[in-house]
Amino acid sequence: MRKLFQGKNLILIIGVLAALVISVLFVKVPLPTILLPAEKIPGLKIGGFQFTNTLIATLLADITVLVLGLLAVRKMSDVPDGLQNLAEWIFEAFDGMLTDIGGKEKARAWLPTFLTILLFLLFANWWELVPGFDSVGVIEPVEVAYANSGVTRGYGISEFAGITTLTKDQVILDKERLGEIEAEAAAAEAADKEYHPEETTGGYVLTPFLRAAATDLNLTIGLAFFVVLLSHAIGVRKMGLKYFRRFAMPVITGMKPIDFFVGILEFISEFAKIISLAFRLFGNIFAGQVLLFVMSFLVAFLLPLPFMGLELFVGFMQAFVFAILTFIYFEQATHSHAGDEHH
Amino acid sequence: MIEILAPGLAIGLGAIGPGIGIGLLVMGALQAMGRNPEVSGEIRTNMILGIVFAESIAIYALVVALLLLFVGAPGLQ
Repeated sequence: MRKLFQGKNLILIIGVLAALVISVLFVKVPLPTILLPAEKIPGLKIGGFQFTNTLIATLLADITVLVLGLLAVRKMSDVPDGLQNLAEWIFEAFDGMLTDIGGKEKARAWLPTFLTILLFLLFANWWELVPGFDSVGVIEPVEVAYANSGVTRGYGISEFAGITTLTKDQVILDKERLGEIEAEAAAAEAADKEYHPEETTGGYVLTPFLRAAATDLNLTIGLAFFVVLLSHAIGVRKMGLKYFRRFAMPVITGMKPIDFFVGILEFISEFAKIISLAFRLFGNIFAGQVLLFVMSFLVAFLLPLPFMGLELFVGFMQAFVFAILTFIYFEQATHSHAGDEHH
Repeated sequence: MIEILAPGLAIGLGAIGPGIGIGLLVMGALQAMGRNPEVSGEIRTNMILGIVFAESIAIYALVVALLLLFVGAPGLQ
């Protein structure tokens, strides 16, 4: 313990503390504009298709998985090293885990789906922690942001070495101005032009180029829908049309009214699966994003660090949970209800 | 005033149940691991799954809170 406060360590500790004090006093980070829907990136429109920042982050995660996968299999050797070794370790670890849950045959059949979802979501969630995510983007007048997505709070800007940044001075649009903007934006839309305010109040809003992919409900609901649909396809492939008996007239207790209601419950639970899968991922990642925003807003230095570690864990956990629930849904779909086998 | 209070209450009250649930869950799992250390890997996987199911209820409350905060309830304003 005494060694901790000697020599180099002491200098390091004092340096960190000094940086902390300086950052608390002088470095002010504005609270980013928190929006539920993904922001459209102005100017990035290909053939009438408007790109959003979460879509770009999704593509980035896709590319990361693809590139890592291709690099891992580029130079295959019997004695693996480097990336190939890591990939083999990941495959073996999860293959073992899935074998414990569903048996060897099922683990082999669905391991690719499992790992695709796991790795994709893992990188989609971890990219959020890279500096530049949520913080580099296009700066627009708050009027435009209000017309597009109803933001009423802008910040001042300052220029430093050719880079424009937001400052902490807040500009809040008043009711009168909001009415004017709405009228102007409606006029611009009627004339089929993009809305540009004639005079700005000096408030600006940042639209980031990249935002964590899972903070867009389109991704999470889409993925959950795909997974549940796939589980039905697997069930039909295994059992044929008999699969649908579980929703209409399963034979579990032998008493028809009870079995009928069980069938209805089964049917409803299919929709509950989609909702809970989608909102669990979305809620966790969105809440993590807001948490990081607020922590960097309070103290820009050192304070966000433990929360970044937490987000690292949450990002893995949510990816893992989504993937393992996918596997479990697949497994459930191939089980016929107990009655079918014994009667 | 109610616009600020509503999301706070939604997540605050909604987190009570899952909090207790996760506590009970981990307590049970840890006791089981203490008695049977050889199956702790299996117990841990199931514990995490249980935690996730309990947590998803808190997430529903969180989603309601976020919706109230950013989208607003119809008829509130």
